[in-house]
Amino acid sequence: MTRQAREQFIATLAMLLTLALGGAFVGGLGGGLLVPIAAVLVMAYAKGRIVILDFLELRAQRGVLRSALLAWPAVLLSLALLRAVAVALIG
Amino acid sequence: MATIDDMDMAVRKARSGEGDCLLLWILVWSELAAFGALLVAFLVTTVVDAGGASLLRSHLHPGLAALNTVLLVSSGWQAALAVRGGAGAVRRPLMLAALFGLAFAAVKIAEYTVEIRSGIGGAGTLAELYFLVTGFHLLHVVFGTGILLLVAWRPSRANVVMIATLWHVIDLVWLVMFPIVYLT
Repeated sequence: MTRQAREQFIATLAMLLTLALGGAFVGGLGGGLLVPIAAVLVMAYAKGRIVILDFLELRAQRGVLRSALLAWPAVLLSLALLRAVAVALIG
Repeated sequence: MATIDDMDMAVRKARSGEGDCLLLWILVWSELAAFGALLVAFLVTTVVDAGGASLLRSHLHPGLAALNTVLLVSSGWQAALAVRGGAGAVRRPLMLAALFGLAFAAVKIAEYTVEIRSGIGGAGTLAELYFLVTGFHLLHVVFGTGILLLVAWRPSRANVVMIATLWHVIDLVWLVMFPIVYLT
C-alpha cells in the first residue's frame, strides 16, 4: 500500500466517523421532526455506500453485484423515510 | 449429464477460487435477505403499534449505539487494511478488528442490561423484535470476531478476503439498522 493510498484510506475512515457521529448528533437533537430524520437516513446511506465502494473494493467495478449491494441500504432506508413521512402526515 | 469438459471447468474454477467467491456472495446475500426481512418487520410493527414504538424509544440509548457505530466502522477499516496489506501486515489489523468487535459486543451487552433493568419489556412485540434484530446482529459480531482471531492466527489470502467481506457486510447491516431502530 503506497503512502498516498494509505492517506486516502485514512480520509475514508475520517469521513465515515464524521458521518457516524453527525448522524447520531442530528438524530439525537431532531426530536422526531421529518427533516432531521431525512438527514440521518441520507447520512446512513452515505456510510453504507462508502463501506460498499471502498471497504469492499467495488468502486471500480460495474455490474449487478455492485448495483444490488447499493440498492439494499437504499431500499430499507427509503422504507424508513416513507414511514417517517406517513407518521408526520397522519400524525 | 455432466461432460468431461464441464468437470474440467469446475475443477479450474475451484482452483482459481471462483467457486469460493460464489459461495461467499451466496452467504452474503442470505444474510442481507434475513436482516432485510427483520428490519422490514420492525418498521411495519412501529407503524402498527405507535404506542409501543414510542415506549421502546424511551428505553433505548442512541449514545451507546453511536459509540458502537464508531467501534464497528473502525473494526471494518482494520479488516480492509488487512486485505490491502502485504503478507507481513495482516495479523495486526485482523487482531485490532477483532478487538473492536469485542468492544462492540461488550457495549451492546451493557446496553441490554440497562434496557432490561429499565423495563423495556413493556414495549411488547416491538421489544421482542428489537432483541431479535439486534441480538441476531450481535451473534454475527461475536462469531465474526472468533473467525477474525482464527484467521489472524493462521492467515491465508483467501481466508482474509472471506472474513473481511463478511465483516464489512455485518458493518453495513449495522449502519442501516442503527438509524432504523434508534433514530427514526
